Amino acid sequence: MATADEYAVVTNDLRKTYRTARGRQVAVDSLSLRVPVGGVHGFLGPNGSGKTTTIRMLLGLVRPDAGRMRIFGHRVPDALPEVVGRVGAIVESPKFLPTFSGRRSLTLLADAIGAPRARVDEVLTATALRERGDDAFGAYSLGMKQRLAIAATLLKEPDLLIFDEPTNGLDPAGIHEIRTTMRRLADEGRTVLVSSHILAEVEQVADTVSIVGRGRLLATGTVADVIGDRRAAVRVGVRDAGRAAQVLAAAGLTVRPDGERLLVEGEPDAGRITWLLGQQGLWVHELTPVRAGLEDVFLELTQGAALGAPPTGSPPPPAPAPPAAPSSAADPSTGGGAR
Amino acid sequence: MRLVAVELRRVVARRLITFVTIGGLLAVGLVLVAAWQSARPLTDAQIAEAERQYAWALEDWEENGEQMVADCLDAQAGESELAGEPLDFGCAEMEPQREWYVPPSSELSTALGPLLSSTATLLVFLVFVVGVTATAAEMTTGSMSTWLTFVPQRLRVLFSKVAASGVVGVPITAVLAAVLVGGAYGVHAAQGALGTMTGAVWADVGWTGLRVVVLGGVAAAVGSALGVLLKNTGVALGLVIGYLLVVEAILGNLVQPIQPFLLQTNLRAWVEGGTTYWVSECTVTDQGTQCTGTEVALGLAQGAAYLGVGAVLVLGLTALVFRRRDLA
Repeated sequence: MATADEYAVVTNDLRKTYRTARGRQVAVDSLSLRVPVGGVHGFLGPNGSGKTTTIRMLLGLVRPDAGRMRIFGHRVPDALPEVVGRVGAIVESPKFLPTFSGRRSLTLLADAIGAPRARVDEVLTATALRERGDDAFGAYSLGMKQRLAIAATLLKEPDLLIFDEPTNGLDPAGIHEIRTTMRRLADEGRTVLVSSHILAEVEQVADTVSIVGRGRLLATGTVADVIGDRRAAVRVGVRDAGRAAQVLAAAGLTVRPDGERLLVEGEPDAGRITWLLGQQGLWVHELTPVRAGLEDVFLELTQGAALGAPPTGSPPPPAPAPPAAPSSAADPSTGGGAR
Repeated sequence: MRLVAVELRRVVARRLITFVTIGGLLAVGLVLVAAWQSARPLTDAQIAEAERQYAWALEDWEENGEQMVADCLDAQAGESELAGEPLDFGCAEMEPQREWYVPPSSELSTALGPLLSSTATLLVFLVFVVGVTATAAEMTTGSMSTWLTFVPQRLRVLFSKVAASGVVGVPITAVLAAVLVGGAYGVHAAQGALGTMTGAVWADVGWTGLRVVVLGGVAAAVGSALGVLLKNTGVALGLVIGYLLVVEAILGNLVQPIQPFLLQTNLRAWVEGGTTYWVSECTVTDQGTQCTGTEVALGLAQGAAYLGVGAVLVLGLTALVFRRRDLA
């Protein structure tokens, strides 16, 4: 069983509703999230699935209606002041006063947390903004704004970085840059929690993922676990596809048409497929293993959520037992955590 | 204290501070131009013309005065009957007076106190705007959320911002008030119209100036709290201007009993070290309704208490709301 100090972020039965013109809207519904210490954790879900609200609750910007949250074992938002030095976060778009230069904004933040002024130059250099540090934030491109926000999070030298949709509005070069930065930060031993609705990006960089839909956790685990055997298949190209389908189905394989080809699902043995078809004089001209991407899983799960289907995919890891008291040594979720 | 120091640097770095200070200096400049006009003695030609006008008026009065008074009394009687109450058209004071035509020039000794008091409202409103925009801009741009991810202690953050605005409001008001007093002195000195500037006069001006400066600090602090509460400069200023128009200007005239509770009355009481307001008391007699005006005094202490309680209420309400508010 996983212990709490393996997690940078833990939420239990988190719930948040908003009052709207159409009544109460559930943004987050009984969300129990586990973000392991170290590595990149993708927090995935379509727009409006509760990702940003969850992040805001973790950072104390939004009050949950119910549930509990811990960051590195500290119960938040009550104990945020104790743990905030280990957390750097960008929520949605970077937000600074547009007339202030990047350097001035960072200097004020550094002074507020007692970080040395030299750190400002270090993070500006680390995010390739040193040359433009004295320009007004309002004059920055989207990519530069995003880099400045990352620079701000690095002022604290955090153990946990939370990036909410960090690539929104960026060009391909900017997206690549952010992805590389996240990977580098994780490789330095930090935990990166990145929310996104763009799966292809996260799949390339994430070690673990949690998928949410309509505020609920639908699947969580390593990328490989979440994809799992789901829809692993072999694409078969053969001249008489109809007859070949009959042959393979008769042999107990799950077959469905895929254009002019066939898709044999369930991670079948390619050699067996060739042998079965060869026995019937059906000669294979294409045999391609097809593995579902995170995006396929995401779409399948989130569409299921939209239809009200029960959660599927890898079950969430067991939740740490709730503590008797916030600082109780018996509380498995109060452990230190990161580096 | 560290947060207050950081907030001070943030507020001071804002361009609006410069704009407001320049705007304030321009406004003070206009007031000084008006003071220059008032202090300037009439030229010989102007005096000769004024004397000529006065002489004509006297001549006309001697010729037609009786008829004019009679016409006035007739008009007064007719209007009083229509109104159902006795009206006073001032028929007994119609004889032309020399000072109506040849007014005396303004002297610093009598003009400085009223000049400072009357300009105080403008100066205080300017620093109030500084306070409002300092925090409202942070709420609008979302930089408050960024700030709270670094310092997740809402009340501490709020009070550091309010304190910083208050501290910034003091020197801005002080500089503008000092320019006004210095400028007024220069204007009157240049015209040779200082009058008798005794120590008591200077002390009175000094105390008034001090109260204006304190008021500037409080106004900036209250402004920054309102900026957090209402999250938008336009909304905050609209609300304040709307209140001044509807409650202070319109309702204040229509409903006289609320006068001691009006902001402007209490501001005057604080700045001038006490003030008065008029209340009409009407009684119905056999000859109709008779109204008499009574002058009521409002002391410095009352003004201070009113403003202090008002500031604490705004700050308290802001703290309550901000502590629980969901932030974007």
